[in-house]
Amino acid sequence: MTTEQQTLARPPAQQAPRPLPAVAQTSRAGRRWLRETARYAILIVASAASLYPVLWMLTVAMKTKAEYTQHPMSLPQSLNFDNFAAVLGNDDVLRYVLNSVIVVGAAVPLVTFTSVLAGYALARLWGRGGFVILFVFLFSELVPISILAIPLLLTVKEVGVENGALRLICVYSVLMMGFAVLLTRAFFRAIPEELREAARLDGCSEFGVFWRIMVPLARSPITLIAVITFIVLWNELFLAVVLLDSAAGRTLPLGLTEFRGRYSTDWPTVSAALLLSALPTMVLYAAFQSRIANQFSRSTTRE
Amino acid sequence: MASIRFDGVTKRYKDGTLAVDDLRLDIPDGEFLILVGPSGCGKTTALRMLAGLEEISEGEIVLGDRVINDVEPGDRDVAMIFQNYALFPHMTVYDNMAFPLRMRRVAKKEVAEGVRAAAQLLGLGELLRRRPNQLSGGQRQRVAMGRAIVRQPAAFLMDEPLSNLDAKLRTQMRGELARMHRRLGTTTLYVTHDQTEAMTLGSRVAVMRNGIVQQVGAPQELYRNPANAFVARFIGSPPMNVMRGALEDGRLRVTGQEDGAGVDVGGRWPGQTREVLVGIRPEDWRLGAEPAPGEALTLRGEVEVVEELGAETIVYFRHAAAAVDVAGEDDGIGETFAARSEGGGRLPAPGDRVAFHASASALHVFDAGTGEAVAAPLHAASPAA
Repeated sequence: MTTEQQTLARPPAQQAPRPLPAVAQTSRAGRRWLRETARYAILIVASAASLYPVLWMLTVAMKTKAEYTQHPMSLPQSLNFDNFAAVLGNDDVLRYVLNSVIVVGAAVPLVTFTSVLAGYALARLWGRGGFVILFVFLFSELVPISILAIPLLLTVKEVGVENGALRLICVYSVLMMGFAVLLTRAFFRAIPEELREAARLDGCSEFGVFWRIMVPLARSPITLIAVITFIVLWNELFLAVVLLDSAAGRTLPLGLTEFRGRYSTDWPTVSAALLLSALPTMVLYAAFQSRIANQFSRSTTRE
Repeated sequence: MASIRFDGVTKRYKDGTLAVDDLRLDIPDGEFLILVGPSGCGKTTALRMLAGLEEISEGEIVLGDRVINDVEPGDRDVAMIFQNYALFPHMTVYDNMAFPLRMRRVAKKEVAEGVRAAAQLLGLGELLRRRPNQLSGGQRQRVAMGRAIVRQPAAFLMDEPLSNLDAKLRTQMRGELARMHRRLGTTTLYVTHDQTEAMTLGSRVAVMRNGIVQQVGAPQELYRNPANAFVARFIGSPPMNVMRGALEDGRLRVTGQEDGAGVDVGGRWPGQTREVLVGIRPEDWRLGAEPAPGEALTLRGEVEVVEELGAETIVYFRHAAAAVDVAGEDDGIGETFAARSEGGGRLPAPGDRVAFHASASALHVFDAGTGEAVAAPLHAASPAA
């Protein structure tokens, strides 16, 4: 057998370490360049698509009404923050903000607290009965909100909840709990049982185990739940439309729809208002962005 | 510090499984007792019942002078070291070790003193500010020990504390555990499936199987004088060689023995007639062409594997007499015997046919049906043999 034949007979794995011919190297580098370029191109297009409306709103918000009517797509002639000032000076807007703060401010701690309790109970303390409850939570996540809206309205009326903010707090909390409980349960299940046993042997009560060991360990899922709940509820419009009777109780997203007049709309002011309303969620997301991404990718296990 | 007594303790699960069956065990104050057995033998369940992590179906557990069946785990005054250490990941080493003291509302100053003292004893001084995930396996193990020590409990319960460590570290930590026990003198119940740990650590060893204690005694006593074939096979590595045979009016025949004349056992089992299992420790074989005076049993077999371990050499040889499936434990050894020799002389090579000899006093005899030892072998009474 000649040397050449022997080389050919070798399995490919053994050929790999040989230096590649110049042409092959170039084409490999070329392929990588192409792949990276394609990746960045897609990311740039996607970022542009999501950033464009925000930037456009920013330009609109800085124009006067007249300027907007003449040149809706152009850049503003000057940095003009009058529209923002007008929104912030508007008593209605302040009332909407206050309503939203009350509703979200009550719902976020409520959802977080109850879901941590329920998630721990479902993960550790209950057997088969817990599975049924878990199934209910899971099922509630699968039903589209538009189907639930009318039954929910009838229910809160039947129960006699007249206060708009209270209605929203109740309904929002219940609806957000499904996802939150599933998340906390998965997290607590991944925590070794020995931690509970060790703490119990060290003299910790069952509630002490929960409070001193489990809750501190669950910091990242708790943060995740709080942030996601805040973002979802701060922007929630549909249920607010359905559940609120009086103008006085309007939350920010609902209130802002009032800026659209029946015959004409002051788009620069609306843009300024929308941008301001989105500010808290943007700041919050930016602040917790890395933790949220971490929590999602880590799938709640820890060493 | 306190003594521990298991008084007819039974654990029956809802599905009827009997995990621990009528466990009776007295552990005097200050003793280091090892509970050893194959996985699923009930040893961990027994430990967890003592800790209060499993309910007791029947019987009583007494710690010191009080029955603790219905005492909360935290009030039992026992400290447990878990196989995976169970350190609290969100706390520093200091906080982990301080935790049991804080739970007992010990004054801050005393907590600090207790933790410092334990940390010094275990060489953890530098690591007190670290979190568990910044520690190596051996260091985590030490922190777990520290958390148990600071409480100065009546008893330590250890559930395979070394099994997550690599072999070298395990040997080192074994030494540290022994040192710690000598220094503190706290009653310790130590669960393991590793017979080396059982032999080296404990002052006494209890061998469990299927929820039942087979034998309790000093390690050497279990080794020299096993109560049944299971203990004989479980204690010792490589395990005791077992072959089938029969006692006929005090005369021993071993299946597969070539001359068929039987073994002259010098009247060790006078008048006995029954089917038996004959056991012999690997180190009791002598490799040689012809039997020396006093050697009553000779087997010829083909050498399969020769393991040279430095100080000693283990020769595995095939022989049809090797009893497979002794005491219901098929350990996959097949028809293979092990012989241990402490070096010297010419070693056989795999494939060689060689003769192995043993003296009658080295033989252990167990009832073939029950596995119980038929009588105490002579050499247990006279250590010189």
